[in-house]
Parts: sequence; structure tokens; C-alpha cells
Amino acid sequence: MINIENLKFSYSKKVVFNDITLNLERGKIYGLLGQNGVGKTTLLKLISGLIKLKEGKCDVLGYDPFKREPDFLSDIFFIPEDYIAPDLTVEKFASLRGSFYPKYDKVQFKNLLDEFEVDQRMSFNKLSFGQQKKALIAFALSLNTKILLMDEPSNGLDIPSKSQLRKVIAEASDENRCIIISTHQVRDLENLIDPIIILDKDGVLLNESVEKISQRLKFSLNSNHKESALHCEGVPGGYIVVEHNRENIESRVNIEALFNATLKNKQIIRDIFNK
Amino acid sequence: MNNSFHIKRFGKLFSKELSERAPIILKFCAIVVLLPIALWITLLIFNNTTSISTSGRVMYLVTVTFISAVAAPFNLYKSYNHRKKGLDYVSLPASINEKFLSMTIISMIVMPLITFLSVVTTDTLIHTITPSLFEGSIFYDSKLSVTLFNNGSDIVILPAICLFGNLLFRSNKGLKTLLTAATIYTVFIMIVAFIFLVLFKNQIEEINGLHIDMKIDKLSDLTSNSLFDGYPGIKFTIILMSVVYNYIFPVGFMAAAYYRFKTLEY
Repeated sequence: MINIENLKFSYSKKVVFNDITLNLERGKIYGLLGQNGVGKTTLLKLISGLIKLKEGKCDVLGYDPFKREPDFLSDIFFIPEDYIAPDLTVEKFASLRGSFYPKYDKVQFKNLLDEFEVDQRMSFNKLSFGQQKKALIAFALSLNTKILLMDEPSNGLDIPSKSQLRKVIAEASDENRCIIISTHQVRDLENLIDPIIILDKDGVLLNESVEKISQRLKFSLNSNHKESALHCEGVPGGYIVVEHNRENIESRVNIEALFNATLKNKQIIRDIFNK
Repeated sequence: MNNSFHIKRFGKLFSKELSERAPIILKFCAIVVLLPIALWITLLIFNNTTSISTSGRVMYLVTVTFISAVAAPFNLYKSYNHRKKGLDYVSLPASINEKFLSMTIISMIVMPLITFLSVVTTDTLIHTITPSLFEGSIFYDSKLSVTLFNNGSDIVILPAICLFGNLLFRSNKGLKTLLTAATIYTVFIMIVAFIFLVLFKNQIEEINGLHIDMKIDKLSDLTSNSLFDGYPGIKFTIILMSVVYNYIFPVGFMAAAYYRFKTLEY
């Protein structure tokens, strides 16, 4: 669905991607993780055709994204982290834009708005930041595009909205759809994102399913600090320990600990997963 | 559907753009029709019998129509290249050609036309109610057609520069576009002056020696002047200058605007 090969990208002198190769498939909700400035948003913008590729290949649904052809645009939607809404009612905003998307479902949009408790008669730019975000997410999901890119979707949402967000994304996911969520708030989207992609300035550190991660790595809560572990961090009640899973013991993946362990042990993690 | 241009999709896009921008266009029109109305009311209140000439009203009509054409891209499409606000337009499933054409028609035709019609309608109404105050109809005034037809390329060049400037600059668009236009005009005039004063120095001195009065208001006064028939070099330069100004400038700016539109990054 999305095929990126040897991608190189830089903003004037600042190199963002040196050599990235990624293959993203349909039917999955990818979690895109990485430190600030590592290029998560840039990657989403490259996929959606908002910026031009400098070197390498980026094939999305068989299109060159930067050509921004209507058939391509009608199958992809990008939800930016900050959205500046136009001076229109939510209803008008959606009806004017929705008609350009062949699979736009007006009823689904209305239901999602009801679920998020957003009044569609309100002017989009008069809504609070969180309300605007929820309205945009509802619109994006009701377009039923093959690819949905979300940049920090849980930012600005209150606690009930975050669980609603998890629910609606899980419901919207199907075997023909590829959802990519870039986030720092991994806890907000835990149990939803699978596979997990960890980006670094050197490239893709990890792109694996949660199942494979739990096969290769062991996550446990220990009462003592473990020096030999890949990563050990103090939490209330002990230490979260990430180790190479040599004994094939199944454990629940802690994404935050996985992220920190990967950043600390780039080569070891690569070796573990490339075996 | 065709990915370059599809008439049905274009129609949908055009009506969407127009319905979203209608409030801005109408607001502008309301402002420009307020001035003649205010003037008329003032004349009525003070029982003034002074008649407002058609030439003054035609001048006002042409000026506000021109201003609307120049200001349209900044008013209607100022967010198009905004890194955040612009995403709404760029991600809409319509082709580059459809989006550019829609923007061009709305900025360069629809907004000036609506402004023109608003002022003409207001003026005609006032003229019908109080013919003694607003004497004669501006719509049938010969000065109007003369002004419009004699400045054909000017009507296109500046709005085309503004369309380009609006897409090229991300901040202080109006000021930067104005400076760019002024620079281009200055460079153009300097090149022309150099050609005449350096390359054709002797011929120009010869023409000056003839002591013939020439009235040059616009470029066409030069191209149509038979005085230069005896000077093929000068005649050729004048025609070349006219082609550059009347054709290459507007087409060049429109092409540059299209290219910028197509390659905008967010």
C-alpha cells in the first residue's frame, strides 16, 4: 500500500531522513513513534504529498504523492496536529468537502459527531481546540479513505474523548484500510496501534507487530534494578524491565519502555529482530 | 475520472469555492457601493444641487474594479500557501488544473465583475431616482469603454502579478508583491531606456531635432506612431517592448503562478 525505499530528505542543511525503507500494508493501524524532530510529521507529509521527495522512492497506492492527483487525494486523508479551521459550520464544512470523496458517509459522520458530542451546527472555528480536533477526526473517518494519517490525534483531547478516540479508530479499521498514527502519547493509544514503527535520525529502528515484539522481548515488573536488562526504569512499585526474550515467555508490551529500550540499544534491537 | 481535468468535478469545486468566498466578495462590494450612496445621501441632506459628473463616477468605477482584481487573490486565497491553513485546499481531491482555474476565474473575473456590477447597479439606481444629482448613466459613457479597452493588458498584468505574489510569498504578501511589481517595472523601463539612449542615441537625437510634439500616454501611442517608420531599429524595439509588456508579462506571470501553485510545499 505504501512503499518507501531509500528515502532521503532534508530541510535545507538539516538532514531528516538519511536512508529510510518502509513497507506499510493494508488492514493495520501503525503507531509511528520517535523523538521530537526525528521526522514523524515529515514522513506523514511525504506520504500525503504535501512535501516533495528529494531522493529515493515513495509509492502510495501506486501514485507519486506529490503529483496530488484527484484519484490519489480521494483515497488519503491527513489529520495534522494543529488544524486551523475555516469560518464555516461543521455541517457545511463536511458537506462541501465530503462530496469530493466517493466513499464519504454522511450518516457515519453524524453518528461520530454525536459520539464525540460535537454540535454540527456550530461554526468550526468557534469550537474549542479539542472539539475542532474531534470534528476533524469524525470527518476524516467518515471519508472512508484507504489511507488515514493522523499526527498526534490525542493531543488536546480530554480523558473521555481519548477513550472515544480509541474506540472509533478501532471500529473504523478494516482489512482494506491503513491507518498511521504518529504520537508521543503512547499510553493514549496502547492496545490500538499494531505494528509499531520507531523512527530515529538514522532510519527505522523498529517496524514490527506487537506479537513479534512480545516474542522477542520480555517486559516485566521487577522489585529490583536489573543491570543486565536492555532497559530498566523505575515506576511506582518497582522497575519495568525490558530484556531479550530468550525463554519464550509471553508478556504484555509496554510501548513506552519499548521505545526507551530501542533508543538505548539501537543495534542490539536490530539484531534481535533481524534474527 | 480524468486526473487532469474533469468538468463535473471542476463545477463542484467552483461552486464550493464560490459559496465559501461569497461573504468576502459581498463584504467588499458593500464597502465600495457605500461611497456613492454616502455621497448621494450627503447631497440630499444638504439639498446640494451639484451634479456628480459621469467622468468622475466612471473613474471611481474603474478604480474600484481594478482594486478588486488586484486585491482578490490576497482577500480570497491568502491562506493557500499557509503551512497549516493551506492543507484544507491542497488535500481536496481535485486536480491542480481545476484548482488553479477556479482560483483564477474567481479572483480575476468573478470578484471584479461583481464589484463592477454592484457599482453600476447602485449608480444606475441613484441616477434613476435623482437624475439631477447623478447625471447620465455611467454604463453608456464612452469614457468607460475607452478606459477598459485602452488598458487591456494593464487589467491583466497587475492582477496576474498579485496572483503570483499571493502564492509566492507566505507573509506580508501585499507589500512584497508591490515591491516585486515595482522592481520589475523599473528594470523593464531601465532596459528600454538603455536601448534608446545608448544603442539608438543618434536616431533619438535626430528625432529630437525634428521638434515634433508627441503625446505618449501609453505604449500603444508609440507603436502606432508613424514617426518611427523611418527608423526600423527603433520601430522593432518598440514592437518588441509592446509584445513583452502586453503578452509575455501577463502570460509569464500566469505561468509562474501556475508553476508555484503546482510545486507548493507545506
